[in-house]
Amino acid sequence: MRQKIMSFVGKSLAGVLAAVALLEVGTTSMFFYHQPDIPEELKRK
Amino acid sequence: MSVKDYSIHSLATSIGSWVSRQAGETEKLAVLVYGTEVLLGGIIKLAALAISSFLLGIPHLVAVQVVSAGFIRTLSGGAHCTAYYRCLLSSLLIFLGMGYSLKLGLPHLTVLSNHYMLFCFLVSFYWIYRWAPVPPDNKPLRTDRDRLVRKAWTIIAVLIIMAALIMVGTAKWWVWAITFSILWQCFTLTPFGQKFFYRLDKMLVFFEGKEVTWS
Repeated sequence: MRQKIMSFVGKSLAGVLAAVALLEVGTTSMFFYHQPDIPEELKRK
Repeated sequence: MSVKDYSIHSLATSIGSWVSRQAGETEKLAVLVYGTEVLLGGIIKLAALAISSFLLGIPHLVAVQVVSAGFIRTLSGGAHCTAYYRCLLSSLLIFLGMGYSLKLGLPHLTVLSNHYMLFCFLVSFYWIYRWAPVPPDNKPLRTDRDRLVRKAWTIIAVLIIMAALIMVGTAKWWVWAITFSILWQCFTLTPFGQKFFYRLDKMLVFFEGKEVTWS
């Protein structure tokens, strides 16, 4: 049961974090003034 | 444990790794770490801005400025610092400085006519027309169409905001908070604005200890 809950939490968080990553890469700029290194799979081709 | 062990990147790496293990998506580790770093960095900056603006008695001004500058920045881009803690410090300096200056200037500004606000927007439009969009080095825009679309959306957004503010008039404090934050955001598009950030970045490097790296 605990494992199922943790898996659900993990998947939900993973969804949120992936969405944030895509949103960040899709817009021209981050909210403020710093840019972390973009992973290769998200770089614009 | 050194300060470096508490950097945003290392914290994001730990959280991202934990999430990828729990979700069973270890192949997406880099994306999850990146998303965590962006989210965590944003939350810390907003919290720092909220706390310090409350202490200075200007939370309303800073909140309006951050939201309006952030909205336009998402469309237009702008200058960047090269490390997280420099970005955090420059954001605090700029937004708190702008907020406090506005607090002092509001009694004089709220009696001005719409022409002064219109002038600020005309300057902003020129800067957008001339230099937007300004993407960061690691996210270059590949096509002219992409550049044109982002420039057009920035102009449309600022036009709508300007029309709304002119209808409201200059007597409201938030009208000037929005006007100055947009003017500032557009300034960061210009070569002068970028040079300003470059110098601010270099100046903040001066305060960086040899063994202390926060990003």
